[in-house]
Amino acid sequence: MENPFENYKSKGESFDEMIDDQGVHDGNWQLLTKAVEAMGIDELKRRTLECEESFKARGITFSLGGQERTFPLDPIPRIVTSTEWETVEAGLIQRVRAVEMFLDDIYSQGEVLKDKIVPRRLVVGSSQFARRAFGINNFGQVRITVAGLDLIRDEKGALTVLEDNLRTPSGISYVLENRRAMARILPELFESYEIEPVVDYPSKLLSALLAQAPHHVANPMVVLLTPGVYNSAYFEHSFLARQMGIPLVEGRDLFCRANNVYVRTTEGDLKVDVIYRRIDDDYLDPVQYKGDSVLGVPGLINAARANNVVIANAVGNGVADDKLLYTYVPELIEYYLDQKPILPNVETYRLEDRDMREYVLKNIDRLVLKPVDASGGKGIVIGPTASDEELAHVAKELVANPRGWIAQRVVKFSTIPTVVGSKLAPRHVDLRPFIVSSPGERWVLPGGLTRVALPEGSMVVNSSQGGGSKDTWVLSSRHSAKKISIRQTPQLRVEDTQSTLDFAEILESFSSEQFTGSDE
Amino acid sequence: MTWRLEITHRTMYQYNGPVYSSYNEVRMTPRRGGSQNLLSSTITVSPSASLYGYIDYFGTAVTAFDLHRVHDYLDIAASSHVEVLTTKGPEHTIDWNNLLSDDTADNFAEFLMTTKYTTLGPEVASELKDRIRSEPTPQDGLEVGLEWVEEHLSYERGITHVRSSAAEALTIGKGVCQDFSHLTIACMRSAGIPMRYVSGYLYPGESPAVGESSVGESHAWVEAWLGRWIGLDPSNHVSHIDQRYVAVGKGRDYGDVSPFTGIFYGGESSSPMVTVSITRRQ
Repeated sequence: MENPFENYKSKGESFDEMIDDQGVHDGNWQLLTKAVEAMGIDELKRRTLECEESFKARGITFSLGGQERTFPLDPIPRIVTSTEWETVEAGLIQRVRAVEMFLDDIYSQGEVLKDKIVPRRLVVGSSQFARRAFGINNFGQVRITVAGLDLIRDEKGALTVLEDNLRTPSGISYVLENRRAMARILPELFESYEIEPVVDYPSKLLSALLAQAPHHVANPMVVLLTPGVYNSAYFEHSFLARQMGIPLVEGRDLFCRANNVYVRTTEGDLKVDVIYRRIDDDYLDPVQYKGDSVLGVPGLINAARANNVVIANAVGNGVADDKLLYTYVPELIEYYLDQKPILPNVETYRLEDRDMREYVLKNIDRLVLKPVDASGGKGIVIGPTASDEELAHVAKELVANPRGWIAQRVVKFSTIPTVVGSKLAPRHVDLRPFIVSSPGERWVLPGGLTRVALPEGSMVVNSSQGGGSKDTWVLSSRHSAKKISIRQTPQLRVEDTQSTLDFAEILESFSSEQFTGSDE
Repeated sequence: MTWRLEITHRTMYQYNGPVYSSYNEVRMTPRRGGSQNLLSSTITVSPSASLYGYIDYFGTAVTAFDLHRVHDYLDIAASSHVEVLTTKGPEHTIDWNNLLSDDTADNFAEFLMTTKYTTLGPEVASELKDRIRSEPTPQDGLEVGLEWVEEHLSYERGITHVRSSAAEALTIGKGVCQDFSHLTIACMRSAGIPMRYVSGYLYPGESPAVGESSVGESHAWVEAWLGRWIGLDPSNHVSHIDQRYVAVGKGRDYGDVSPFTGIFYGGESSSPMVTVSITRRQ
């Protein structure tokens, strides 16, 4: 049988997560490559297809232009060591903590603005700055119940923050479904690898929501507010509501009376205490925002202001995931926490600075240009691949509205082996980890959603633009390559492996007991 | 000089057909502070509803309420007693360098923004900027800007409406206090002078007799920041507002201070009957 890993090479300047440019494999991938080699690519594809059929049958889809599509799952998972993950976890918690403090600050005293760490005009000039929700006190609430950051691994292999998503980040349903699918596609490996579970997510989120209920409530009622079936993430909304055992509601299912929120049920009107909303700020309350919005609930903002209901994530978080504000996050970490940032930012240019703007205009064909307040990859212009007209157009836009744009260095995302035809080929990936916060705790889901750009050379991972996903395996600290059993096969060349993988020891210690990790 | 004014502001909606529920916000309570002292204030609503009050981002008192019984009218009565004094503040000596500094841009960011109501065409805006800034001081610039507004807009009711922008009023050349205020704001902001929109009441006469009621009106004027906030009324060509002016809402434009906003289900909307009566009590 043909070995799918044969001739697998890292490409050009990108960092490959399995193999270095000398062709040396990362030891943690050995078991996986063995299993895939043993199974053969055809069998692997057959099992994946089976799972995709089941995704379709169960409606695990996102909608794009009115069509329901599955998010293609690539069966080669991403492997992250516990040592690295500990650092990532600390970095994510640090970042979310600082940004939470920033949001609390700008929606109250504004010390950070008085101290001129961030220019005030930048904050109050953001389209996402929520004047209408100013004064909602959030007693015992956190503003960022769910954060979904976008990380990439740069050319040197360092995980770097590309974006903060603090409004209604999505993707968690794919993480949970991908894990279930992988347990069917490669069940052998779940016995050999010690993989951190992701199944806790819904219960962690539910606890975080319950913990934020107004103090006097004994049995808080939590609901998930969705824009409805036409929203591209509707599957995820219904999935999470079911997993958490809470009602999935649309705006028309809720109403306010004298600053209390109620849900209409067959058992009558029940008071709602916490709303996990997946509707944008602008549509939440037609009394305050878009008067013609039929998705929202009139009176909701004042019910929250009266502290009778908690809206999670809080209204107005978008001001902190503005891409221009992103450039200040390392400074916010130092300001609020007096710490050095653990996870770096991508090198980014602020266009309000005249010198930086000149530099960007000169080098526009070598940079990425992003509108500051768009999400989902909308409006992004990638210098090296854009046409002259596109570049001329964006240059004009950013001169006219420097507050509206940022420019970034083009980072070559790392690659991971991905099924392409009957082979495995390197494809670019990013990572969206999820951080769930409650008043007393911040919890990071081990791993997150690895998105992969399927066309060769592409770095656009968005599901709406030809992206797929992979399961992300964070190896538990109990996991040790030394304890892994590998059946030696002729294809394996010992000199290609890292020194941590001692085959003599492995063969000697081969026994079924070692699979269970009973020596904690 | 100090006046004590009693203001009654009545808004009456008659719906064509039954309304099943409505959600409303009222900004009709005079401000406290500055040259204004609020002695008392009440808002009553019929059909009756429980009222919820809060102070908004710009410091304006808001009264919110919702109705869930079938109704075909809404009657809002806002009454207040206010003490107003004429302040002759210190002469403003700010120069262009201070006005156009980063500090001003940060501290008054909202009042330098271009909003939907206060947008002008790029040519007009840039011409105004050059004209105003070529004056030796911001105070001179302000006067030049006011002259420009006076030349381009004449007072006439019924031409523009509540959603008209400065640009629309400029094209028509006619408007009411709201349009004068938006156009003045747009004009001055284009030159970097922070401006805010003020809603409130204006006593119609020059020197009212104590105890005599007059038909007043809801009014709008502006404030310019030249080292301190200076109130001026472009639609009446008043360069320093006095004790006849009672301020209620302040914000970037009409959208931030609208006296009554809300949505209702059922019925059909109609223009409200609005009356304002002002009595000098002292």
